Amino acid sequence: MTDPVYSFSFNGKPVATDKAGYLLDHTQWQEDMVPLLAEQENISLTDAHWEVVRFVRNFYLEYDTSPAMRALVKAIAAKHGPEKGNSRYLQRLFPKGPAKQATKLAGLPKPAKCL
Amino acid sequence: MARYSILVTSSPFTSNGGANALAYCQQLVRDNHTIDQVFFYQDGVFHANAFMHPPSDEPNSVKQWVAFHEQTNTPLVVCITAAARRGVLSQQEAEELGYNAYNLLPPFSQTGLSDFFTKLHDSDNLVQF
Amino acid sequence: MATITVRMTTPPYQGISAQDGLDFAMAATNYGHEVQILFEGEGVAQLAGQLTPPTGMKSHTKRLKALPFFDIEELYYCTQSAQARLTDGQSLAVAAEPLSADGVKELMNSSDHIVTF
Repeated sequence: MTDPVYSFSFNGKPVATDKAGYLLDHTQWQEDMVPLLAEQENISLTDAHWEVVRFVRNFYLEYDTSPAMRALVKAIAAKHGPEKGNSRYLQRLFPKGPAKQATKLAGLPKPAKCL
Repeated sequence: MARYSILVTSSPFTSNGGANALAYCQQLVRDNHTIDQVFFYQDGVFHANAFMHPPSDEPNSVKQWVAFHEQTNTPLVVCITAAARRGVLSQQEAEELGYNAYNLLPPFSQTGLSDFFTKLHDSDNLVQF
Repeated sequence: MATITVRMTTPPYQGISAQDGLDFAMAATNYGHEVQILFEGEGVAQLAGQLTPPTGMKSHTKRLKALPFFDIEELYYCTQSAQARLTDGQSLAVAAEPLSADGVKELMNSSDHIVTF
């Protein structure tokens, strides 16, 4: 009875993930992984995506907390204004939900199923 | 006649919270109130552990809650994150995580805090044990 | 929509109660409730800044600073508990309003629900 092991290959080395593809260790993340992770999510990366991914990661590093949707909207609005700090804009970029997808691209843990 | 959400955060063997919660719920039903949910959170999730096997002359809180559900149809809901953390897994969770055993059985169901808070909007009172 | 007072009564990093309290509070506002947090008893230790979390645990101080993004801006602490547990003149990690024993009673009476961690 062992934990199954999942990973993706990056620069020839395996990077451990959970079953859904989220990094197990967020400190292993590098920006160059983002295109790989975006492909898994069927997302075509634009500058707008990068901006949110970097924002989400910085939020996590600063607050040791993954931003839930409302917190993310509020935090982005505070920095970039309401054109970007709103759920419609974020949902368009990340159709399955920014809390789920932007966090994956940012190398953060999978959000708790609880929320 | 009021609506209640019951929050159980105490562990079966370190305090009487769980037993008190059950007694309180039984009284609520006798008094014709409605219990919207009994939500097991933190160490309270242990009340849903089907592998709990106390000696036959001691109370079995899992069985008592199941019996209460059978009499009253009160939703018994377990926080999925708190439960997984403590090794209380439904069949689905266990399979997803690669374990060959599971111990969270119906009538206990799994949800998250999201569902707890959504349901809480309908309740007049929240009582924690 | 209800106002929930979340009572924090345990120190940070002693088991996961303090962490659970914040998780609970942040989830509550994400689903339409209002939350105010009261630090009481040993819970006032959560307000002492510059604590280093044990390896592997998230920084409680950092998480407290995220509360405004979760629409949680009403933080209170019991002055009696603070006198016993915080050093005089110690600056708090986040802004919180001091409450006397009567103030605490009033706060609890004014909220719809109370949950204790």
